[in-house]
Amino acid sequence: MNYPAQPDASASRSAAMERIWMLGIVLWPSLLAACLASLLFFAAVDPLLLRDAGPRLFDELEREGGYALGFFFFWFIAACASTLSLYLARTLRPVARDALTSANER
Amino acid sequence: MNASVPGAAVSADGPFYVAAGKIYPREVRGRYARLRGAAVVLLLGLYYGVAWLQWDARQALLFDLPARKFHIFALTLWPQDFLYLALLLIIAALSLFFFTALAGRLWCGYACPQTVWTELFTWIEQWTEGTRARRMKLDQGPWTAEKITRKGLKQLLWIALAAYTGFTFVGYFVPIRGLAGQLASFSLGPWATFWVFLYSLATYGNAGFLREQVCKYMCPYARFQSAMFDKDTLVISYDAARGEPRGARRRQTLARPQGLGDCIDCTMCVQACPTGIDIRHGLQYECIACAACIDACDEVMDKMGSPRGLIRYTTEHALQGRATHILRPRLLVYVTLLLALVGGLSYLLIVRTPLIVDVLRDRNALFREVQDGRIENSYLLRIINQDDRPHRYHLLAAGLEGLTLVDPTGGRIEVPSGSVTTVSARLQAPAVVAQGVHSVTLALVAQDAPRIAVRETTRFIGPKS
Repeated sequence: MNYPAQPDASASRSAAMERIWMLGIVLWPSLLAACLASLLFFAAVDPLLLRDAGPRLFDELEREGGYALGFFFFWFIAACASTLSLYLARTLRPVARDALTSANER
Repeated sequence: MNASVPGAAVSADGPFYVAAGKIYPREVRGRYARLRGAAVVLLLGLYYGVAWLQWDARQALLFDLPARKFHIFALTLWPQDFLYLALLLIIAALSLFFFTALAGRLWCGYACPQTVWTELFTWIEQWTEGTRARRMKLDQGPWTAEKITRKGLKQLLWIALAAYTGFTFVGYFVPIRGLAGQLASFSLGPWATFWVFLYSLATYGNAGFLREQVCKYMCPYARFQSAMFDKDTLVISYDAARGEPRGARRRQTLARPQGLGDCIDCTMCVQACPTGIDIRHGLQYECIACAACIDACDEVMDKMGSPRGLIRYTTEHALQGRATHILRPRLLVYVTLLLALVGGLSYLLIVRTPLIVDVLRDRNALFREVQDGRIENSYLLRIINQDDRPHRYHLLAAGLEGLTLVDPTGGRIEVPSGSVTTVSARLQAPAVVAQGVHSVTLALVAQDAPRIAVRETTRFIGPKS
């Protein structure tokens, strides 16, 4: 089984672009998920209540800071899920992929 | 060979990423370009303008995150009113589906922020760097003083516009007048600065550099909008039956006698396309339906002396020479759902009472015996006045014979607009009727507006019989 060859003239540039591309594949959908999660979560929960209930680490935090912290927390979690999805899809050996496809066709 | 290639993202169809060339969309004139321009002026005018509108000494449209209140003109929504916001978002999504089924990607072509800001950034680019041909030449040429001036001016304008866009965006979440004052005195808070910077960066990156790549690679709607399409949906299409076989011919000559179609293969439609596709290959998901190719082609057809509309808004059924049905089950379903949701939301907003009362029973004692053998229960009332003016409320109690209210406020609970007040209240009942557990009702009524009233049911506990 042959794969289409990378254009060799700009192979290194293309490899770098591909890395950026994969970064985008991970970060972009997780950003959308983080926006939705923040919206739903902070509609119900006031960050100040969380601050007062939690450890004294965040005593100085304002609401704006709480929203930002929550947003980045959700983004991080969603990015972990995206990374795992990409990793699982990418490291699936072609033979396993073929087996999956033929199993579905049967 | 079945070995996986480390470091290279390959799928069955080839590499995930193929480096895309820069697209230089050709400038077009025509009725759809004018329509798009009007949409840009209207929508961006609203975006930059509405932030400064005032309503009763406050910002008319403000999603005040620091205060956890959403002001939408006369309406003030609290976190407890999340239902309304959710309904509003569902209505917006359904409208998008409805318009997509009816007229294809109207949203993408005229109203999507990505399109609108890209259009504005492209205007600046055309103004500083010139036409498509000049821009290409400028990019290929050496760094002359002219290139530096033109590119520098473009970047300067882009950055200024992006920064103002970011500032306005944050101005919808933090009062914009205060924000402007802080900005003028260089005392902007760290979080406001951060969000202004982030949104400016997003505007600059999306409208200046990513452009069509956002639509092609990042937008989920572009991928699933085809699910709303059917053969009666308005799409932009090339009339292959009329255009083929394409080929060059002299102006003002008829195509058919020369064995040709109307398409002269001038590639103006391709050059005008902001996503870099050839509409003559049929409907493609990259097409954002901006109609630039229609304008470009119409201009060429005018010069050739052929009728306009070789590329036009049409439907698959019309292209096949069949009738187009506007009223069809899919649309009726969308319309019914939309009407039901809009009606429901309007009803909920009309009957909405701008008052919330939470009743908490005193946790320390179930009940107390007071003079005359009466039984007393204590309650804590958390009263939220969501109205935009202060109110004085009456507290009433009912549900038990001989139930009386010991009201420390003397029947005058005053709550300023948009605030929360906590008052304690005591209920007393004769011992004979108070035995066991009873349901009682506490009612709070605004003195100046009896319509604003809330009833809450709570428990009254007496000694066991």
